Amino acid sequence: MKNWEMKIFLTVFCFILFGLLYVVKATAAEFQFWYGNTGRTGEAIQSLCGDFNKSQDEHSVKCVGQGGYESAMQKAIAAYRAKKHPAIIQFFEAGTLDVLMSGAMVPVSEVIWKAGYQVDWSDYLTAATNYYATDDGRLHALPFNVSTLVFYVNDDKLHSAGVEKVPSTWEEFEQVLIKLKEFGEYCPFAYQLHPWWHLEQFSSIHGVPIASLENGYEGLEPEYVFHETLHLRMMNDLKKWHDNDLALPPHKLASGNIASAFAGGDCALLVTSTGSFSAIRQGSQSNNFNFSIHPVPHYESVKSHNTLIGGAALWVMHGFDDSIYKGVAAFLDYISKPETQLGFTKLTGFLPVTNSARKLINELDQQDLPAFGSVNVGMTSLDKEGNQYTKGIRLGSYVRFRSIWIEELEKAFNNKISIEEALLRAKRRGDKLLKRFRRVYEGEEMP
Amino acid sequence: MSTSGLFNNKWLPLWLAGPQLVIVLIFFYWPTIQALWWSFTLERPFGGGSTFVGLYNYQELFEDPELLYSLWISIVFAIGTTGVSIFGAMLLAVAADRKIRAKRVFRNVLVWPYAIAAPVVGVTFSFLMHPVVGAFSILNTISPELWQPAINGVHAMIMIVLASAWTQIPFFFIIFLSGLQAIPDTYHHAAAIDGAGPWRRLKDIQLPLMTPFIFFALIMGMSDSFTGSFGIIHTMTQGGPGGATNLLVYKIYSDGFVGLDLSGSSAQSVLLMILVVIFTVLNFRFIERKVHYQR
Repeated sequence: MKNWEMKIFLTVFCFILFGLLYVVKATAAEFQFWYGNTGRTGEAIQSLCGDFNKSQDEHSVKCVGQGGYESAMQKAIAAYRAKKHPAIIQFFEAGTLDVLMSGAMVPVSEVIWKAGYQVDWSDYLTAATNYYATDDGRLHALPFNVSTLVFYVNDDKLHSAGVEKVPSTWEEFEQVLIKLKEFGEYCPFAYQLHPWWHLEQFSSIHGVPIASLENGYEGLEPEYVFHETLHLRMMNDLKKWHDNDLALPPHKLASGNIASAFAGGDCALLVTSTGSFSAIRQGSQSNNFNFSIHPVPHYESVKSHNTLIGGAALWVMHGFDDSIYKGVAAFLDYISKPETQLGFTKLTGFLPVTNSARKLINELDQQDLPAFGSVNVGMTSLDKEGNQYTKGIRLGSYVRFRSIWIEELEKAFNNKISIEEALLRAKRRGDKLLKRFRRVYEGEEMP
Repeated sequence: MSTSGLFNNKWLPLWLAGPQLVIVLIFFYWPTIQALWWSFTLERPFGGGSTFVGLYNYQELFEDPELLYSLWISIVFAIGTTGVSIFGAMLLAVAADRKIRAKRVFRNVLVWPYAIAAPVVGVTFSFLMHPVVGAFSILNTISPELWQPAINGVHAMIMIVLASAWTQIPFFFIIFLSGLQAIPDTYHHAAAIDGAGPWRRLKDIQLPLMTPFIFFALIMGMSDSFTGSFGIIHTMTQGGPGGATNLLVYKIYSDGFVGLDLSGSSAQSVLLMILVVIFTVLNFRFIERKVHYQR
């Protein structure tokens, strides 16, 4: 070989070698997972990812915090359009249909099944799988950080006001509020106007519909119906309590936050997410009061049904090789293990999603149990018998609808319009969104 | 050698302006054209399907009472914020222009707030104006419902107008101060000899000579209030209570990014652009007549 031939040969050889190295590196199953949580939960997710990477060396996950559910989603959409998206994306429950219709996701049950993992789906809470499953039995997203609505009671305050029994119906609840107020309690009940609990959880507990076609599960042309269900009565009652200072909104509280106010010992009753449990427990210890957790009250006339899961689920995105999906499946399998769930629950206060994880928690030593205080009430509420309206919400542009509901109800609570009118306006604006959503996905079938 | 003072090379100007033009094309014209196109289609958020629907998006918008309300409060906000900030900046500038001790220090300190980002201002003002723990809670000790920005829409609007005006004042202050200092001392001296007091001199000498500066501030302030209020609204009110501060620029965000309705929010941003253009044209047409550029 001549000298110049040698040079060219070497150059080409080097290029091929580097090219090969690059390809080899790319096929090593490293994938990304984008999540929205911040603070304590964000740290728990990072340690979860670290543990997974340490537990084996075939796959590697890179977990990237995006500073909020909504911004994680916005970034994922932009990334998907530019074909630079992550393999796993976390999204919160309200946007389920929008994500389901996008066609950008692979059902998680398929990913797990293809990779050869055996999952006993019956071990999962029905309320958790219902929210993300379709009629054909496919699970589209894996419930990850799960919460639900529970009822927190400051036992000391109730006791000193002479209330013996924790109310289990809204009728009893009202009597307790009046008693607490007469006793001189500044804040008998702290509330925040949000459809997650006033509309979604409330309707599920009472087994009443939010929208026709079984809250959208049975078709893409539903209409909102909540303006004439028991929801109307609940909002009228809440307005009455608000007007008589029996129920206080955040802006009347010094901390500006209902959970902090309860944790500081300022309020007697609170209905909020199990996710606030850790903070409330810490607050009760530093402020020296006893509290307990109960199922959310219901109206006497109706028997109580299951609550809905809050929090978020993990979706697997389209467009990756099988080797990546193998890693994704391994990761999903890892986080579903009862031991992993237990660790995550302890760090964050979110609920476990399988019965075996619940069993594992209940077998813990007595001194470890208080950290899991919300698990049993939360999971029992989720596990009650439901009907066709308590599976979840599958309505288009629902995230936007939530802000519309808040907007209209704020007008009513500021005495600009009546509750009836506010609900009717929210329904009309919501129906417009649904119609528009239908038109955007014209000709498409629901998965 | 050319003595005309002009370059003969036809391409040179283009080369010099090139980088600027590329930036304007990429960051202004491209998104604008994309938004214009999307406003005539129904675009799916994740892509993979978009149908041309003509004027459907605009038709829906004009049937939506919320949009008209949003347009209305955007105008109220723009006029309110610009008015308050021009007035405040003028007050400070006139004060700083006098011969007072440590005026150099004041001039510098009064410019600082301009360097603070709008969201930071929003968070700070939220604390300041909190009805229970903030400085404004004093109002509620007089009467409990006197200051309730979390439920009263008018209060919320006042709150964001004050916060936004606060961010604009420093910029206008610099402009007004330099304008005032450009007025020759001889005018003042002559007027003073004729017996005009400070107030009279302000009214008849300073303000008329300042009109070009005020007009500039008006144009900048208006267009900035239409589009730049996002950071403050997002941190302070999120468009509430009851949609009372849901200005068009915030509605575009919540429809587009929270509601994932890219087409609807594109149509709204086209409307916003038209609104800014209309206001600027109106200003030039009617207010500029009263501006004296000659000194």
